Amino acid sequence: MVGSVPVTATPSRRQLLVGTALLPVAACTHRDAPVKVDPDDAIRAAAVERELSLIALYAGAASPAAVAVRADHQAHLAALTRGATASPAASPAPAPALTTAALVAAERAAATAHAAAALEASPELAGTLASLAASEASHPVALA
Amino acid sequence: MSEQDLLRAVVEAEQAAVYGYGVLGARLDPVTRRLAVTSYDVHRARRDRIVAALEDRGGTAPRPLAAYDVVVPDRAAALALAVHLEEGMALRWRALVSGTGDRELRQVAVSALQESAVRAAQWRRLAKITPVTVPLPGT
Repeated sequence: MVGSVPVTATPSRRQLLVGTALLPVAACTHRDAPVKVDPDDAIRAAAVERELSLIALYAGAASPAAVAVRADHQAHLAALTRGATASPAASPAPAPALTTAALVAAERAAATAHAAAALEASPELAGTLASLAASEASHPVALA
Repeated sequence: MSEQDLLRAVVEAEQAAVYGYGVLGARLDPVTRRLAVTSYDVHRARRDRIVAALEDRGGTAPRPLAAYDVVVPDRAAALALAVHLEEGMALRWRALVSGTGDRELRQVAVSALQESAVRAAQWRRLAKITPVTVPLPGT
């Protein structure tokens, strides 16, 4: 804690997006080697973007339910960025406080997007995205 | 595990879920029992669909056990069993998501994993278990 402001270990949006985007480039530095692009990288980066947006929605969370849901999203981010080069720093900019209905809508949209992404991803990433989709789908129960 | 093994594991878990919901519903009040009845119907339908998928692939579905080792003396035990059943289902569905190369089957598994996570959250809420949700259902 710094004063009354909680300090979280959430990486910034820029750090994460740059970190995940550099992974394939860093792996292919030889002059003549073809640059291999892993399709998972774009899928993972989009999922990271979704989680950062959700975390920002809960920046001012006060109720135990909202705090628990925010913790889930931080765990999602950690699952997606395990092994990425970004280092923890500042939290994403907080979004204006939303109504429960708006939070539920955001959760459902993320659940749909993660589920769709799971169909395109490699087996390992698909499992992670499916779990994220399931977790987001369950959040409206907690928020109700 | 092969895709057929993963499908068999789903069928076995669905058979257990059908049995379990049949038992636990008797310990619930009429309003809560409706959720158990709905869950029972969903699991029967999922079981039948995955049995068909398994047979389409040349596999044979496992036979359900005559009885399962469940003791449900009261409402608290019924709610705990419901959570346990859904968490078990989530494990099998997530394994199938990662273990199948069939896009349609993966879609079924993702949807089923989502539904299990929602039902598990509903049961935890009724049982006053916190947090109501888990970050990575199926792990």
